[in-house]
Amino acid sequence: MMTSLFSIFEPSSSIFSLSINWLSTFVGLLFIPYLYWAAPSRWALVWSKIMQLLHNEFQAILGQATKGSTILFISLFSFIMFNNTLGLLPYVFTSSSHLAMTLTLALPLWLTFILFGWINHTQHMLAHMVPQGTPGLLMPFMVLVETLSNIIRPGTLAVRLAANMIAGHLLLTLLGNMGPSLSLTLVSFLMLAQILLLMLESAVAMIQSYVFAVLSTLYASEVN
Amino acid sequence: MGFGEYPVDYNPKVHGPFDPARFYGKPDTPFGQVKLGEVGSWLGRRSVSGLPGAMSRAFWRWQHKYVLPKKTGFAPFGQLMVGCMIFFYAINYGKTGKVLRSPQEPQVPLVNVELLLVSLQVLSVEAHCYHHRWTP
Repeated sequence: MMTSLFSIFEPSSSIFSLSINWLSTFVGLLFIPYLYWAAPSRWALVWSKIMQLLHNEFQAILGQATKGSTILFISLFSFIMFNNTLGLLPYVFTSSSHLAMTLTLALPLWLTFILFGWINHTQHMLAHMVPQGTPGLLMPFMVLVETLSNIIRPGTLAVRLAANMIAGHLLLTLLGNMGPSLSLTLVSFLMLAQILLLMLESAVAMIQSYVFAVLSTLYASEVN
Repeated sequence: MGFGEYPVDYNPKVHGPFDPARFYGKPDTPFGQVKLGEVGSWLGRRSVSGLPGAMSRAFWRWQHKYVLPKKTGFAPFGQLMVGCMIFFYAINYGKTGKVLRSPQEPQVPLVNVELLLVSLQVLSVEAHCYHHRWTP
């Protein structure tokens, strides 16, 4: 029984109320094409093209000094993207709509960057507190603002992703639940609206995963 | 046979390059050819420890057939997506099925089972046709 709108975000299943809905987090692994034969399949080719594109993108942000670390952000991107897009399928649970999930990704990432910066580049980190060209009078205030913006970073990363996922799903569910009480003409409009919304949400799913990955890459590039 | 090791019966000199989709042990009578009286002993020869291996081979058979060919199509993704939907529909069956309505209105099922079945059939037929277009 659907007792509330938010029950679509409930991780517990109807099998002994076990939280096996979280399994959807790892379903994306099945979608990644393998490189098995010397000649790749067209999906493997498309996949490696996307990875190459992301690598170039992230490498440009990180700079040439940090070779190889783009793999972390590429994995992060694909993980979130699979979670977001698969979550749009009917009945499939969207784990990235939960703060428990997004904060688990964002908080350790941010913490390691900050600790790395403080331990290895202390002066550089402190210099970041006052942007270049700040008037002397504003400096104490800027330190406060920069510190605050630094501290809320994991929160904004996590909330941005979760809120985007929740908003889209809620909108789709709300509209979808109107269906049974509408006339046939209105239902056809509703279906059109749902298709358009679903297209928008598919775009949002990919954009948000990209935003998450790019922002964490930016945060990483700031600490060295 | 430990995790990540070759099956005990696999011999590169005899079998050639390893194929994860192939069973290298001594083949038992196929289930379709087992006589009714022998079903008990046939089932007795099954073991739980062989299950992960069997599932792995099935997975690789699927990979060989749908994902790994050079000219593959949308079929494997469609199959996975439909599989996902069925799995999560099944494990949440007790929760879904009814929409929230006011008490005086009759309860209307959220899912039209017939429509779902028909669309699944259409999808599977389409995936089948699509796959066979690529095979000579």
